[in-house]
Amino acid sequence: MSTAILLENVTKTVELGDQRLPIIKGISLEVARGEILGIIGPSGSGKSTLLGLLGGLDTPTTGRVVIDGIDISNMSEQRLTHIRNERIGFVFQLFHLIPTLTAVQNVALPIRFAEKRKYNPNQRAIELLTMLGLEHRLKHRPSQLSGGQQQRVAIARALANDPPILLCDEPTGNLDTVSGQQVLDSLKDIRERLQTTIIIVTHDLSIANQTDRTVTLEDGVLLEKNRII
Amino acid sequence: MEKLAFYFTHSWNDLRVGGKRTLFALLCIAAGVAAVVSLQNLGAMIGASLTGNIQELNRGDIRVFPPGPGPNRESVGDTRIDNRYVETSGSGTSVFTYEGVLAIEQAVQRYDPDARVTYRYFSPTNPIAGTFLEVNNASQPILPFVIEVDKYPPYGEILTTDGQTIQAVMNDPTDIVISDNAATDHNLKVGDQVRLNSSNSLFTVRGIVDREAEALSENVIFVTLVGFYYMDVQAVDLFTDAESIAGNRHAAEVYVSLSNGEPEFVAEMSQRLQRQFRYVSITTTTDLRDRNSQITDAVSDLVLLMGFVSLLIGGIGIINTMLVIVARRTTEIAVLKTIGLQARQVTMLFLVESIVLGIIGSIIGCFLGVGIAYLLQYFDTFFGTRLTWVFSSEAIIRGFILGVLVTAVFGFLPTLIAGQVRPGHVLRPSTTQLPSIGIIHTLIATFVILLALGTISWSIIGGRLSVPVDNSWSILSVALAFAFAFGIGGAAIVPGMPFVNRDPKKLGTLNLLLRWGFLLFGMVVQTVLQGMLFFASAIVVVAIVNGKITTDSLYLATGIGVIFGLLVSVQGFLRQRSIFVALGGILLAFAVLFGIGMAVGGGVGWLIHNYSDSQAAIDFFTNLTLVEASFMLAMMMIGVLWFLVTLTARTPALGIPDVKISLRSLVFNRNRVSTTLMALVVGVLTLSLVTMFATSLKRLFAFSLEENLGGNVLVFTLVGSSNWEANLTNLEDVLQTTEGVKDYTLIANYQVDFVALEKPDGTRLKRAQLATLVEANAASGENMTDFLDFTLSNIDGRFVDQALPKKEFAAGSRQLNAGDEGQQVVVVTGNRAIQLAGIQPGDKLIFEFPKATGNQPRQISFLIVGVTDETIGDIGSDVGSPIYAPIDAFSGISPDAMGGVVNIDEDQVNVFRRQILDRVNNTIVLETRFLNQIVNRLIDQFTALPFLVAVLNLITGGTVIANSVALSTMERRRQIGVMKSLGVQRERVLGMLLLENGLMGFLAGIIGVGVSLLLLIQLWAFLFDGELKGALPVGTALLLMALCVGIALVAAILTAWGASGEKPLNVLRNE
Repeated sequence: MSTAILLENVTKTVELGDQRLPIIKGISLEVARGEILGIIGPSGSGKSTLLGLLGGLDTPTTGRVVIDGIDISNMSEQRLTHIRNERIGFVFQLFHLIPTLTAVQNVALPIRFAEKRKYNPNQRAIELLTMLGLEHRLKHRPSQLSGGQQQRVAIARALANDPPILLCDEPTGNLDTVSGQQVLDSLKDIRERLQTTIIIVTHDLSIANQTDRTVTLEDGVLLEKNRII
Repeated sequence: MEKLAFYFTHSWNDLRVGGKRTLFALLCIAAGVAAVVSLQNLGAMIGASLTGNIQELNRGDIRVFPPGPGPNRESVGDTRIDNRYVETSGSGTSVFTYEGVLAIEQAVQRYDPDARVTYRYFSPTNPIAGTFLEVNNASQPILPFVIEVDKYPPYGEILTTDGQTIQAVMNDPTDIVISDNAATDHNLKVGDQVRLNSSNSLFTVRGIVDREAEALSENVIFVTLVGFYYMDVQAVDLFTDAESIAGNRHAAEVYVSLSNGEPEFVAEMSQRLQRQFRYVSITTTTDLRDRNSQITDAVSDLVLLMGFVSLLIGGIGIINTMLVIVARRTTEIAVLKTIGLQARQVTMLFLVESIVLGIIGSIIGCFLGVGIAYLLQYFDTFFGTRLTWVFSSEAIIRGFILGVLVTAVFGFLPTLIAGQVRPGHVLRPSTTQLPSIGIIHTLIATFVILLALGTISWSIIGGRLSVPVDNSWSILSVALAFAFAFGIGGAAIVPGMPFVNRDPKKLGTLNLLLRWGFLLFGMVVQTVLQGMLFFASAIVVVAIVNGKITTDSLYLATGIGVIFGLLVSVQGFLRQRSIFVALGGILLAFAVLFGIGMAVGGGVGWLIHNYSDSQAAIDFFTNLTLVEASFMLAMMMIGVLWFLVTLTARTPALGIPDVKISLRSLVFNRNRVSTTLMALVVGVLTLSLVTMFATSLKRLFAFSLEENLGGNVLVFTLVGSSNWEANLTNLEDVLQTTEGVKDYTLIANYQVDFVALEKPDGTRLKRAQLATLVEANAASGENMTDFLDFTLSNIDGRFVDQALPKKEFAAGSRQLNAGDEGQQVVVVTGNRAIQLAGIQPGDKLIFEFPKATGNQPRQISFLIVGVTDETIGDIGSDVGSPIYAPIDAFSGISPDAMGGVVNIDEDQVNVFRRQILDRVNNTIVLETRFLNQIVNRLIDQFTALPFLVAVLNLITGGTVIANSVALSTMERRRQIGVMKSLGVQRERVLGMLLLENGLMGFLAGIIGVGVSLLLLIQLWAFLFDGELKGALPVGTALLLMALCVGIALVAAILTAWGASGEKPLNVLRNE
């Protein structure tokens, strides 16, 4: 199995006023293509920072982040944007759909702004929404959808450009148990169909237990089965 | 293209769901655009009135004026005048004689037999005949147009309000047609009978015409102020002292209508006339068209510029709105960047949104502007002239383009900020702080904005303010543009520097030294500025309380300025030193880079001046300088407001939590509060300047009339050579016998030629020598020779036993007294010209009297006994000439005019008038309150346009404040929700918002009204030596301040009412 994500001795330090705070304290991690990895950890352990680094939303202070074979550690913001558009899909706890756009328009958005367009935006959006069981909600705006439906639209948006990697930040955190499970099932289904690598950051152990592998982030350090990796 | 379509749809959708936020932002633009469109449409309306039917306006293809003083006339003395054709009238103006009118008619008809000539009559023997309407027992001034009814006007028709021509209604010499304003003023209607001064006949009003019929008369001011009437020349025979009109076609102006109105033919005929009659002045339709086009162009540009200022005020609303839109959508922006939008695409998205906002706002503004312009045609009494409604598509196009451009320019900075939002924000969406765009982006944004505004200004003003490129001063305009640009750049960099932001303990030695240097410099500057602020406030208070500014009050205000300035600085030093550091750094950086910019710009200017010869470049740089200087001024104003907001927020809350929260909110939002305040201050300042200046002027005039004139009735008598002594006797008799006359002063006025000044040692200085002396002693640029000539051209005869002018006399000088009766002694007003000429008591003034006849001496030598102690511009001086002698010192020579000031019981004025009309020839009686009314009307008309602009500015300012309140309540929905969930009632929440905005309104009022008051105080104190003469309109000031607070409160209620009533659960769930 080839490597989808590779982290080598990654650190991230932020300046808070006059202080320099180390958030990520030297993490190395390898995630295989098609793997579902769960990251758990208490509040303030650095989960969001790590997700930012994995998704090219931020760059590490030291170390290497390799996504789909491309080293993004020192990439310009412009190149990073392309990487995010083409190779990474994001799913957030609060869905973050554009409230003024319909489900189709939301999903089509990443395709419209792709450097090299692979799909017809609307057609692809309808396909994905149908795949996620939302064919009857295509023209609805986020405010007209339930939480579970919104999250499935967000997943469809994340898959718009067929990225090899999907990063999910508490994807079920804002949903009831049934909807949460539906979302998780959708993610598993996607992995089966598209061989997408999925990383799920979560508090919820029942979710973490359904992943292929779980790592724990504690105070900026990654532990696997209580062993620092 | 697809992306652009997305930007538009997305922006449209966002604005659609934006609710009040969108509405108020649209209104900000709409108010500004409405100001531009309405003012420019007004300009077009004025233009249409001036350039409509030019032949009708000119009263013919050619108008011919006799020489003499007055508009459109050649000055007498330039050429030799043919005395057969021109005669000088008693009032000094000249008229064409019967032969003159005939000669012009013959000259015209020799080349164009079908040409028609008519004229307007003017009596050389009794010029004031028919200039007063005796109606309702009062003498009211009115302008007579004595015409040949069957030939007037040469082009077009003059129609009465009921649609008839004046020819149809004027059938008898006693039939007159009056203007609508005169009819309204004197409550006259068709069929009413009136008397005119110098005639015993009764005249009947047969029709009323629009005052516009004579809008282009050279007496346009009188036409609009007092109105006019048409009378046929045959009625001239009905006036006393009148000549028979037959063979006496004395003309004030002659109208020629040619058979062919082509400009070439008109020009040819005009040249022929000018060759034959070198001393006349000629106005052709072409001259009038050119002149009126120039006026129209200037008016259009001026009003467009005024509207542009209003639009810029609205621009503040755009910045505020776009900043809030960006702040509220940081998460959305982060999401968009996460899924692949580049920074420039995000910037473009928001720029499109601001442009869509601009387009919609401008469309609304265009409709509003046209509506306002349409309504303005009904405000004829306000503007003095009736405006014809025209629809100006140019106004709409320019208003629309300017609206969209300004929105895009002002939206640019917030959209740049939008592009800088970091995508990582999406993972921590609870923080809503806007990203800093960095020094480079700030600089780029500032210069793009300045360049754009400079280009807009260039397109409006063009080269009107610039120096020709071949003039070496043109280098300066380029140098200044660069200097300001560099200086602004320098000032913009400083706030981001480490020595301002970083903890001093972590600074290196160099940065620490810089910090201390800037801190000290900033502290000195701020202390001085604060001192000036407190000094100014103290001056206003002292002026209002005391009514005058004395040296003591200046010391007191200075003391207050120094003490409070220092106190606030000490407090600032203890609490917020970084403000001093920033201020000092900004000023020093500005100064240093300004100097470098001058050098660089000077070089560029030199290259343009010497090698490129491009006037367009000079014009552009001049406009850029103008914009940059205005930007600097605006920034300084915002700085002062920011400081005042901070100061206000430090007011003790007296333990009241509501006050505490309101004050904290003010200081927390002080950036937006100060820019919003600036919008309101500009509106209030312009309105208060216009209204308070007008009110103050009216008060001063009323004051000087009531207090200094010494009476409530003025009497004027035009004196013929033969009967003046009889007239004087009769006048005195009436004054002494009429009941209710408390006291009076009579003056006989002589127009004289100054011969020489004789010093006590016998040396004589002629007029030219005195003029040389005056010029030598005058400051450069002062033209005192004309003032000297004016002072020495008239002398009054006064009764020494009556009230004499109240004057101050220096040592060695004295007033006339009873012992001077019959003596040839004078008192001279010691104005600046007299002082510069060195005229002193003991000198003698020798005058020549042109009216001396028979044995009367041609020249009289007067001994100066008094030179009064005058200050320049003392408008409180009494009626009469600057020089006066005892009335019996003129050896019986006939005066040119006689007049008097009478203090009489109000209820006896009509009896007195009747007596005067019956017994004294050619005399008019005028109550001073009518003068007051006329002056008030004149002031109102002159201030009408600035008043309109000020009101529009204030409306825009009010909209900006409403927008700001809407934005801040929207931002604080969560805070409101929390307060309500803690049990705070809606009324109390609303109360806090009202308190906060009321304070804002109060601050704007204090500043706007305070600055106006300060300027007035300075002006009057300078003119009257510190004496303010009760001219400060304190009532108006308070009213304006109340208006300001009212606007802020209404804006707050309109926008905060809904927000304060929301259910806390809804707010907390959705925010």
